[in-house]
Amino acid sequence: MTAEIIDRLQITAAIEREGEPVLRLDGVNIRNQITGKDVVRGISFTLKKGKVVGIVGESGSGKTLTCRAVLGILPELFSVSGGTIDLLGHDVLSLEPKQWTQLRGTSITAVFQDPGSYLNPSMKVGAQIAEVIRTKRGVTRQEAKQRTLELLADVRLRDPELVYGQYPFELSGGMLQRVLIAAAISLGPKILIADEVTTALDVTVQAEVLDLLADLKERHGLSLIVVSHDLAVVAQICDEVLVLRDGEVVERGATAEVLRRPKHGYTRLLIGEHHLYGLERFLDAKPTTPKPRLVDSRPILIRAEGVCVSYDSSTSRRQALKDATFVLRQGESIGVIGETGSGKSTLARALIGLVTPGAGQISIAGEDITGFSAARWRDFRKRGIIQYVFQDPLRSLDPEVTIADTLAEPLLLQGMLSKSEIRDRIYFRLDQVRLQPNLLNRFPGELSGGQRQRIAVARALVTEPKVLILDEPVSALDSANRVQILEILNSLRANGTSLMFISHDLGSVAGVTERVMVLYRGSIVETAATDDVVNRPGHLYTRLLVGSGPTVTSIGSIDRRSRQALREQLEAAS
Amino acid sequence: MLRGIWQLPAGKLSVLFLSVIILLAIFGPALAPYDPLVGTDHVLAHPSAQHWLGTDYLGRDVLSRILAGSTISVLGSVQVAVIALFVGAIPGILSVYLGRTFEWLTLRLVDTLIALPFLVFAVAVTALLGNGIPQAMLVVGVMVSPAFYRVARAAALTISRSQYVEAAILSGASIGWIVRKHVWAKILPAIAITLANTMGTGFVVVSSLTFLGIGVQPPAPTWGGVLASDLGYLNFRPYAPLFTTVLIVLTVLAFNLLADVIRDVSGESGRALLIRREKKRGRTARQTSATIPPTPHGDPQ
Repeated sequence: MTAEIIDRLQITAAIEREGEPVLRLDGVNIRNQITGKDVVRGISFTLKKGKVVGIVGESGSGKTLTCRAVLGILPELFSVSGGTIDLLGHDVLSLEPKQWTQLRGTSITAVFQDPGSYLNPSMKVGAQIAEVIRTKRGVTRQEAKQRTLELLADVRLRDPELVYGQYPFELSGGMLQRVLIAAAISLGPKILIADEVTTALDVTVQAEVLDLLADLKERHGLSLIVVSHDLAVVAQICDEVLVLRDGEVVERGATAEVLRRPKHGYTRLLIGEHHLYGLERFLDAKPTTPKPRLVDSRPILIRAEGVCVSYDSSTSRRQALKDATFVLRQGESIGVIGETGSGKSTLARALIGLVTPGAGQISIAGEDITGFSAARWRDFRKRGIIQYVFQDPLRSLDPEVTIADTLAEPLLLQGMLSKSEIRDRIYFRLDQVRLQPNLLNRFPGELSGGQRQRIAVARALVTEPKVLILDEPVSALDSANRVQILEILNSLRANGTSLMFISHDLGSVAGVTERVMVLYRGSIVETAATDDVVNRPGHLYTRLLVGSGPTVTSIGSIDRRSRQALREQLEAAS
Repeated sequence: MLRGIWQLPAGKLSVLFLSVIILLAIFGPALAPYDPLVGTDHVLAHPSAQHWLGTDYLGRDVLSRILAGSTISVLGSVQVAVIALFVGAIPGILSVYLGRTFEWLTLRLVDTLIALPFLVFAVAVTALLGNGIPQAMLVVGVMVSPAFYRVARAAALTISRSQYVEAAILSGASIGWIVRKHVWAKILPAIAITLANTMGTGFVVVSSLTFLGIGVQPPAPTWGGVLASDLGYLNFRPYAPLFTTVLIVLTVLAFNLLADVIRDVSGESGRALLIRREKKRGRTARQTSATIPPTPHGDPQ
């Protein structure tokens, strides 16, 4: 008995030393018991103390299953069918449920995507963390609260006392994620698994959370496993990276090495996307000198002057868009950038008449649309001068209407073309979005996500619009499909269609726009040529946005401390 | 959808059975071997070659009375369903589009109707409007219309908030166009299901009313009437109520079964179900799907 305790203590002491492995996976296979197939095959890696291992792969590649196996929470019907998992000297696969209860939280813990669903909506967030500390540590209420406040301060929530007494719905996504991280580290674990923790967040908030993780690693000597579908996220904080595809590791190595000299084609594809259409395009190139502003003689297509939109509810009035003024010229493509709630979607919806501005004027192709009646709007829309592409094609395509009928609808509404002309038009646009005509008789549910979004683009194009407004058109897509949509948009530009590309991600906008408009809290704070915005951001928010990456070359284009300084400045300014 | 119903065994069964019932309703009175109104000396006879289902207390042939009574039962339930459909579904769809006042008024009206017991109400109204099945069914139809209102409204509401309707609006579609192209097809299965269920309910209601002797003058044959008269002479013919009850139960069951089948084969999941069945039946028989080249980017989800 005593010998065993001494033994254990020695092992623990050895593990505590810097650089000692805290987690070791050796040839782990995970089997789906229904199909009898191994969905994860031969995963091995070693996580050392104070280090960060990144796992990259698209959905279905087995990255989350691997994490769940390490945590001992594999979904039913899945089991580890081979290999060993060694966690701080314990053989994870032979642990009893009771031993797991001891280990989870104190040795290993995890934070997942969609933080809101992991918190009790009817309980104050502080109380939820304090409860865990109280039951696990056996301290008094007062001590637990004290510790919780420390933790909330630790994850850099600005006002821990305030957050302690708030309910989950009162917090933003980034704040919720930080609360969950605080809860995760409340019992002083050695290992933290971060599974897609930044996926649903804005770029700047994403950088904030990643910075926090890196900071915690340094201060608490945490070892991290960071899981993401986005190579850039992993690039920002990981020492070592594993690229997973179809349940197998296709590439592994030191992060910088993998990014600089990718060996596997799939890794190259992931990196290539960033170089073709990401911020890297500008950062790679030598900084240009500011171009003298040429007088643009192209005719003006959209002119917005002093547009204000506010949403009224019974209790409050929120100004979503303040005094927006801009022009979009024929053939020009403009990016609209901003975080969630910055008013970028409101601006787009005002242009197409889905919201009515409270003040200001908008004219499109010479027509003042601000005072349009419902009937005038219908007639104007039928002309199809301005078209709109939604973020989620699954929701914007009628599931019970075939692709052919979906594409024909705007033309049928116009009622000016014959059947064969409509068919020709559809075939032409289908070809333009690189889809085969055999899809025409299918329903949206039978298409992949990328195909659906291309159909949505094709539908917007059939009326031969002068302007295409795209609201986050690639945010829901994976790398390969994103590249394809962006390529299609670039070919449209070449044909003289004006684009208005709305996104929270400067990277995807940069590749297809010549000018960028930055919105911050309802105001247009900066409008400039895209490469100027990337290389010489003017407004504080733009500087933070550009500095938040995500890039694969420079591992965050400015360092953590400068980002933190910018955040504080921005906070002070507003 | 219709082809889909026929492809499922349960659908085939219910459609066949209901067709028989409808044929009975049309040709029943003509097929009756005896006059359903005229009694004979064979009172309370057991089933025999002359009287397949025996005779009742006045010596009238039971089979003839059931055949002759089928018209009124089927007509009654059709009337209930059609009235309920028009009174319920149309305001249900319109409540989504016609503004707050209409919406509020119809909703309160529907709540009121749901609160009233329709059988009791039907009895009361026949006393007011005169004793007749059409009068009673008119009332019952209005009383069960909330089912249609709710179903149609719920479906229209979800659809009207969907992004694809917004997309259609952005192409210049009017309310009429949206209802025709995007709403109608999706509401139809729900309405068909409610319709089939309501027919079943209508059947029970007609049978109950005629059982109580409401809506028809006594010598006229009805299923409920036959059942009522059989019940009085259980000592002589203990099996007699079975004929009518089984018939009523089976008809109602067939309607409900049909409703279930419509639900199963409609919409996206229904399409998937039918494709799965087709594949199971003959992998080699259906060559068309094999000739279409696979999609270029992964399997459709």
